[in-house]
Amino acid sequence: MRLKWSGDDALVWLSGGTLAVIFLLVAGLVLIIAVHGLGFFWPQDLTRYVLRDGRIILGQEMYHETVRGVDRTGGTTFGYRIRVKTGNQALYPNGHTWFEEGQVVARDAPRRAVVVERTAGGDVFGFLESFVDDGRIVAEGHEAVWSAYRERFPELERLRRQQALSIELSAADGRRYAVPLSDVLRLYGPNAMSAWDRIRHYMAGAWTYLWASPRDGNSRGGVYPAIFGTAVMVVIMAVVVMPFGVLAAFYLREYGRPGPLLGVVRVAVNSLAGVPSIVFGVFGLGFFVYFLGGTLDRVFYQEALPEPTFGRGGILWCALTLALLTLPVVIVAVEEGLAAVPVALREASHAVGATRFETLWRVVLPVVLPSILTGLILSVARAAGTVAPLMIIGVVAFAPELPVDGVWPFVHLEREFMHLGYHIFDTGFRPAGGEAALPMAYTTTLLLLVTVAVLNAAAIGLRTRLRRRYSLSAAQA
Amino acid sequence: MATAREPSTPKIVQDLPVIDIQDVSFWYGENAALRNVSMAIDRHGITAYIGPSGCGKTTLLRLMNRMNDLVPQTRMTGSIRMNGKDIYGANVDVTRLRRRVGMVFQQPNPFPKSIYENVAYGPRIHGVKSGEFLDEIVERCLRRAVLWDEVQDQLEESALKLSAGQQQRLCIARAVAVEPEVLLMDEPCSSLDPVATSRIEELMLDLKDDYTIVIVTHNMQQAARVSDFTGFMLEGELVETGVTDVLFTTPRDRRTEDYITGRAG
Repeated sequence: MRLKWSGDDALVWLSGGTLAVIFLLVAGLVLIIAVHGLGFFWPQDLTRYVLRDGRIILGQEMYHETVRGVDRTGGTTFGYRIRVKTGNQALYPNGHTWFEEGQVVARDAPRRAVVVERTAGGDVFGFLESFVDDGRIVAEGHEAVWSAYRERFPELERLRRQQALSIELSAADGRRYAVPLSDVLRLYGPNAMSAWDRIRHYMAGAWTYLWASPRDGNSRGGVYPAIFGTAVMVVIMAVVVMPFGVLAAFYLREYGRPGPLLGVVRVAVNSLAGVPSIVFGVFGLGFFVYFLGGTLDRVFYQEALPEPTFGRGGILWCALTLALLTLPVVIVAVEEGLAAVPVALREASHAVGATRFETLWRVVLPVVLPSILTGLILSVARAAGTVAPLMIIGVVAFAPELPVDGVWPFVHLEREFMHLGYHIFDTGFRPAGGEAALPMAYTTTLLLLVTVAVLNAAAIGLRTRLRRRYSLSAAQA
Repeated sequence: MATAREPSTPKIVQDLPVIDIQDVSFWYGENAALRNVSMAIDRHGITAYIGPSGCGKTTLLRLMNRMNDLVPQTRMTGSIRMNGKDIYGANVDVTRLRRRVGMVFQQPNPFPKSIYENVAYGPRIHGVKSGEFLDEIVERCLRRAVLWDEVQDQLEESALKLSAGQQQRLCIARAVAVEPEVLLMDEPCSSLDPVATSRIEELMLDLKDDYTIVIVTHNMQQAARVSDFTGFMLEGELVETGVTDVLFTTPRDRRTEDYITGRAG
């Protein structure tokens, strides 16, 4: 006898399967970002390839991809094509090269191969030949040059100003190339590194990344200004949006008389959430930058005109635009929280003679606090990740000055600033830095992801604690 | 806030009924909930309203402290006087009225705050700031609600950790903390077990020396056990009122008799 077919079974599999697919996609995305992002600082080995055509190439393998070919008998063959980062764009155009794996005659990892990180122009790979001081060779050979460099390393910052010192390297094919010491940022031989050395190198790289300014067209160095800019902007945004959102929600739920007008307002608020973010950018440009900023300039910064002070993109306008963008998020979250406050609690307060305000302030507000925090979390996460509208109102790829610094009046809200999201766009997709900057895009993405995750976790933790304190369901437990 | 109960009403008023309901009708939107209800409620006694669900007894109770003001689209005619003064008059301060007419609800509804703060809430609202004085009020009211012995060591703990019966007694303590004259109780035991119910009933009998208590219940035994006066309501009408013993033993109205003997409702 056949069992009756149950629609439940199908739905369980369908819904469960959907969830599994979503989970796999998210996990895969995070994994890719994490692997690439975290691998960025790891000192990768330098490999020397000897090719069939006689070329000798020293570099780091970037990709390894399958190519399908056709052999003489018409059958399909599979081979690999390797892309190697060669560095040193003066000798190798683009700083990378492709060749088929079949062409490789021999490969090894020479212990003496070194990487020179430069302040500009990308890395140089090669072998140390000589240390030159004002045209005079003071050291020759790997060990001697290395120790000469080591000796001067502590004073590198000061020596940078002297143009006389330089290190001469030879490429794998014997060509010589001199790097002025003023350009050298770091010198290391990855192949000779112990695991401990590598970890230290990794840590140093990660530290620099977090706390240094970018260089070399954002492809190298750190993202500190972007972290700082993003944080400052989000804080200003939150300070503006929270009172507005919370008060608006209180009016909508507590004071506004239910009716068509309130309905229209609510629909408008919800629709605001669906407006493309770039439209907010255009509004920000027109209203905040041109109108408000322009007016401020005419009234308070007359002497600086026609050079605009507030009448151009800046961190304040970005924060205000994002506050507008995230307003519906806050309103909806707080409104839902208010709707969930039991009538019995309000009545209990009224019954001892509390006014409406006292009831709101002393009874309702503590209970909706977790919802207010939820609104804050959601708006911060949204604001930290939104880039499109900011690109036209004040976010730039490289800003030399931070929005908050030691120069009076310390907070410079009119300044353009760097943003993590825009940094990803700039390093990942702008040809200026070339492909050299691509790995950094992963790292910055990871950083942004971690920042938002940490923010969320912190706020969720806080919310759980508040909920426990003001829990309405504990009695039934 | 007075320390001790002082006669806040002049002597001449003492003889008046505390609450005098005259010809009250009430509508939620188009639906009539009460029809021409009139009744006087005497001082220092327990008056119970019984009747089947939806008969309007809770509505009547909530009119006595103007709790129904909070419900939109309602309409009332007739008058309710407290100590001779119309509580729906033009110059009535609703918060003052509610302070004098406290209320205990069907479901225990303590605030999600500490036990202490629950009781101190009302006095704080009405301007008591001194911590010592508040401590005193909290202890007195918790003792009054026969809860002190159970909670004196956990005053700072959440009120939500208490059992339902304890929560309801806490709500009574909260209500008496603002020194009301009248205590309205809307089916205060309907969510409690028999043991907790009997404790609340004992408490009511104890409280009636100091307060005028009006209770709504659809538990007839409860009304018979605790109340001095009973009103029977049916479909928005107050069918019969009287001294409890009389009403339960020799009802005058046929409908009352049907209800209390279990033939209807």
